[in-house]
Amino acid sequence: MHTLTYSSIRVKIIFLLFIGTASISSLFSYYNHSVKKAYMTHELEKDVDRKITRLSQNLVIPLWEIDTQWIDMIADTEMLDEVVSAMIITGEDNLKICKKRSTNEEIINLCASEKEETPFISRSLKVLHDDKEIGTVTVHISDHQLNNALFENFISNFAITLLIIIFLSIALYLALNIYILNPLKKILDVVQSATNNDYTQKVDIRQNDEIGELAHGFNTMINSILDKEEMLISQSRQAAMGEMISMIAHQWRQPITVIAMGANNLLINVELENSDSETITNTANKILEQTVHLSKTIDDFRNFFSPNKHKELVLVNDVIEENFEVIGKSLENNNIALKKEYNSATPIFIYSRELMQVFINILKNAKEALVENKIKNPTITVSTKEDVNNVYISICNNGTTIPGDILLKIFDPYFTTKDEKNGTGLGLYMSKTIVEKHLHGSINAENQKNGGVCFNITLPKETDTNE
Amino acid sequence: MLQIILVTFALLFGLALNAQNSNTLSIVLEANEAPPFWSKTLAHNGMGGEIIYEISKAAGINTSIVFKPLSRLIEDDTNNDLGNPAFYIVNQDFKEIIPIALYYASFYSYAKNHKNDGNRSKDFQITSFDELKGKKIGLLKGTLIDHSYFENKGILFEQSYSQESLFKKLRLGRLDYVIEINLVAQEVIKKLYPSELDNFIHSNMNTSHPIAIMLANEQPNAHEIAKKYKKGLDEIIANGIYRKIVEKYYSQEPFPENWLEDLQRYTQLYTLQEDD
Repeated sequence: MHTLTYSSIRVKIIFLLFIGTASISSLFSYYNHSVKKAYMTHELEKDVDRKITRLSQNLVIPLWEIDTQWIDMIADTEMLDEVVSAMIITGEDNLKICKKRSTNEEIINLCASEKEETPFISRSLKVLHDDKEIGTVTVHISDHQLNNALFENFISNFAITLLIIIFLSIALYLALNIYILNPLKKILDVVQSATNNDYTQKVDIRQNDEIGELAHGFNTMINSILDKEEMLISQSRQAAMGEMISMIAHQWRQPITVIAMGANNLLINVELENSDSETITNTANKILEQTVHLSKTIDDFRNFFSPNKHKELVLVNDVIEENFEVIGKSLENNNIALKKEYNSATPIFIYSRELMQVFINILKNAKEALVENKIKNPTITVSTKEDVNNVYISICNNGTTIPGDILLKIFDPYFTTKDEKNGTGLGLYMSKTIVEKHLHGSINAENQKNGGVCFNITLPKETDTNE
Repeated sequence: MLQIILVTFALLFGLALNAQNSNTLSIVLEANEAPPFWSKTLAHNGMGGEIIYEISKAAGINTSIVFKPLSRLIEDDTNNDLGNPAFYIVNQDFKEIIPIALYYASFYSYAKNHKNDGNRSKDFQITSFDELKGKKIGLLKGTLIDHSYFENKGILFEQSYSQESLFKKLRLGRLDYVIEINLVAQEVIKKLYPSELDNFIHSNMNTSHPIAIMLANEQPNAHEIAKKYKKGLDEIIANGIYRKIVEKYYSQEPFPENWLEDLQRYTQLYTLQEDD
């Protein structure tokens, strides 16, 4: 018995899609981020190279003029570019102009100290006037702007990638739903019906793929089970027939004896010339009476064995009584008392022959249990009652109770406590099959508090004859 | 020939009328920052400012000065030739030009850079263009009207945007000489290299140039204002205030002997041009 908690494959697929989506988005965004960073760093380096070259050209005249105000203005202008974190311009006449971007983004006239962190990019270039060095310019570039741009790029890329992958995941999920999950659900529904012994459901999937093959195979399996079940019913009926023949033989023995004795008396009287018309008439009537009895017995058994392909509107009490016509003598011969408590008066629309077969199985088992256990004052009590929806039938005996482990298995196929000659293990299994599948009812067995076992049958009040 | 060079400095101290009179005549003048002649950071706005103040006081005019950065001179050099009255009268729209003071200019050099020639003592004197041939001379941008005349004589001129640049370049040997107004040069050297005053030597050009109040052509009562300023000028010259002001700023130099005569000459020169 499996104890795993059920969890839908849809949830698992959604979870996997979510994990997959997040992973792919992250990986793609990281890859994109790395590529973008390399590209932007390369571009930034090119920009810085261009900047330092242009700056060294722009500083030629100011440095030649040693015009600190002019140089300061150029440096301030360059510092407007937020990627520049610091700038140092040196020249003759002890000229040194430093600019630095403070932590609060203000530009201050201070040279960067050595303790400060190494700039992301740093470029220095000599400033030449007529091929003579008149100064140097150094530009430090921070990665602050680059990182901000990369972060924004990462976020936008991640969002776009996520949206695309979510869209694709939804499409994939829908495709999975159409081609796999929904067909699986259909198959699962039919499997669950089959688990509940309802083999009438078929998987309606028309796909030329593995799922289609699975559905076809499952339907074939269901058909095979149905065939097997028919075969089991047939086997069960054959077994019941054997039982009935035995009962017929037993029931015919007494009337045949009476007929034989009557015929013999007639012959003796004829030989002794002691026969009068009255005696002959009485004897003939007795013989006739016995033949009528035999004929009725044949009719009873014929009704039982005749194929009953159509439902009919019957009173359950009548079906039970008809049943006693067949098996009643056998109970009587075993001194089993029969109590009847009929409280159902509504005819229901059922396969009456199959219900009769169920009663036969249960009554036969009850008889055998009472006889084998030599129960004193053996009694079988049959009662019926009804409510708005159902008719309830109980067949109880006052024999021994059934152990719990056996009680759980008595409706299993091929389960029997009898020896091989007396039991096939199909009787109660077929009874349960008939009640649940053919009569759409239920059956259970329970021990009685004072000993004995009750079989309870519940049948729906089907009154619609338009089948 | 040197005269041609000197005229290029004139407009440094030019003033333009910029305001309208009322019952008490109020005049707003503009001046370029050029300490110690004109500067809003100096007491009484420098030598020119003090003279204007005393003239205005004597003339009964409220005069105020708005100072402009020196870049105005650099960015627009079309009106800089104050030293050539004919040029100004023809090309410019001033109705009255009233000389109020004079200035002198010199060739400056850095003695340490002239070890191999004779120009390393305070007594050196440049007397002709031949001495300047092949030399690089520094000038404030906007003060030289005609480059080609000098360049044809093999003299190289290099213009700078500030007087400080000129003297820094001179010290580093990037220039052989700098032409600058004497008092301005002294201020700049004192500011930049206070311990090297003796290393900066100069050769006086010995020619004066006018500092003037110039009244715009659009000024409707320019002649009346000019008369008042001239009357005020005459009054402070007569009572000795004028001389005291000039002597204060020329404290390290001998007071120019022909100052008042030259001032009179320029006044007459502009008056004559206007009359023509």
